[in-house]
Amino acid sequence: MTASCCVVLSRGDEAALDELWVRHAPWLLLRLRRRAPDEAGDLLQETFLAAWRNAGSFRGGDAGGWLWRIASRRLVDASRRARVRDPRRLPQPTGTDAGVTASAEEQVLADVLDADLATALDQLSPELRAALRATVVDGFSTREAAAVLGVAEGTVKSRSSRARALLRHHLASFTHSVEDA
Amino acid sequence: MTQQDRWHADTVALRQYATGTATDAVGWSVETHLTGCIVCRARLAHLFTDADRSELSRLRCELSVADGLAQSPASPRAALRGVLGPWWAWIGLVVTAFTAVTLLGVVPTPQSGLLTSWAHVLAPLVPLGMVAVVYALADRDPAAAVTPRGGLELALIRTAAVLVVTGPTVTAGMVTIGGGGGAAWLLPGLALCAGALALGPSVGIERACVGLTALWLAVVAVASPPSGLASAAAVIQPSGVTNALWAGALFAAIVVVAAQRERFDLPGRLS
Repeated sequence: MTASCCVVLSRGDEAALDELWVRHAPWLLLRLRRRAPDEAGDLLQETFLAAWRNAGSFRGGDAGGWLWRIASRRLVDASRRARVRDPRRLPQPTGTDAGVTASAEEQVLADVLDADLATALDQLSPELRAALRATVVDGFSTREAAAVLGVAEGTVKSRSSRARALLRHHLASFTHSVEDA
Repeated sequence: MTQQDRWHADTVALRQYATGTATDAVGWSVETHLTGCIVCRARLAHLFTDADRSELSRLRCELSVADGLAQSPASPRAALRGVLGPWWAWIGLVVTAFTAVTLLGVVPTPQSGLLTSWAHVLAPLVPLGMVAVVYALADRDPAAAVTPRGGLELALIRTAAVLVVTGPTVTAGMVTIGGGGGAAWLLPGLALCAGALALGPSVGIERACVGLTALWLAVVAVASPPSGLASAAAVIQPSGVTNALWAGALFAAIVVVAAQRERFDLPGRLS
């Protein structure tokens, strides 16, 4: 269904853009907001503008991955732009840090999601988590991740390999404690 | 369809994500899943807060009226416009450059030597001005937002196009007016363009063009008789020594551009 929506979109039908917006703008807005809180709205508009004009590059299937690819490029551009304007500016801390008050909801979540993984992730520093998110969740190349995070490419590589090593270590220790019990 | 068989995000997790309170572990899991799941994307939209709902409709309204979105999507011609600006600007620039050179060619300067007319003094500024105009027009075009080129690549394409067009145009103008030094303007012209690219990442290419133009005019003013400085006059006067200096400046600017190629960024990149 989404595929046919994009076929129409490539013909320039604004109703198709509307449909694409209804389906994809909500999750894209939230995802961009966790990465660039101040610019999420602008980036969302740029993403849809780019999608609208490049609908021909859509290869079919679900449009989610295609749209995120476009959005993530906007994100890389915005980070580079911000640093060209002000080289001293550091990337803003994004995402919610651990330490949100424990609630009944989180108790439920602990059962639903892999609690061990969540705990292991929370033990990583924000820098390591940011590197891991950029390379694993967002699918950025080392170069793009370096632009988004505002660090050198070598730093991205060392941080993400350190983050993986620490995750492995933490997860292994959980397994041991379960075996010991 | 196998939608029903699939794993779906937990409602509590989705609600936390929608209200911005999800931890990284929850957030990542939700995000990775949403990229490919139509069902959970729709569920997430239903969990939106009222504030976010109105934010979304505001963004959507702006999008319809902004950027001529009602027009057809990108054609190859629109993409080219995002890179080089509108075609009429190029016609106008060529005609203006040629006319200016031939008109200024008959206005004598107080300078001595080869700089017999104002055309000789001002010719090196033509490519610089044209780069500034192309940047100003092309970057304001909505098509520039989705130009499939960016950064240094875009800067080099635009500069190269300007040099290809201005080179023959200005040289033809200089030959028309006579007085020698048909291509002598080219080396300082090249060095000034490269200088604008070198300064671009720091101050913006348009501003770099304006600044270098002002600098050149200031040197011309200082070098003008009767109280003209001989050293300033020597800088703008084509000779073996100044050619070597301009070649050196050109090389230095290219080195600076190459060294900071990562810093080149211009709006509109989608490769």
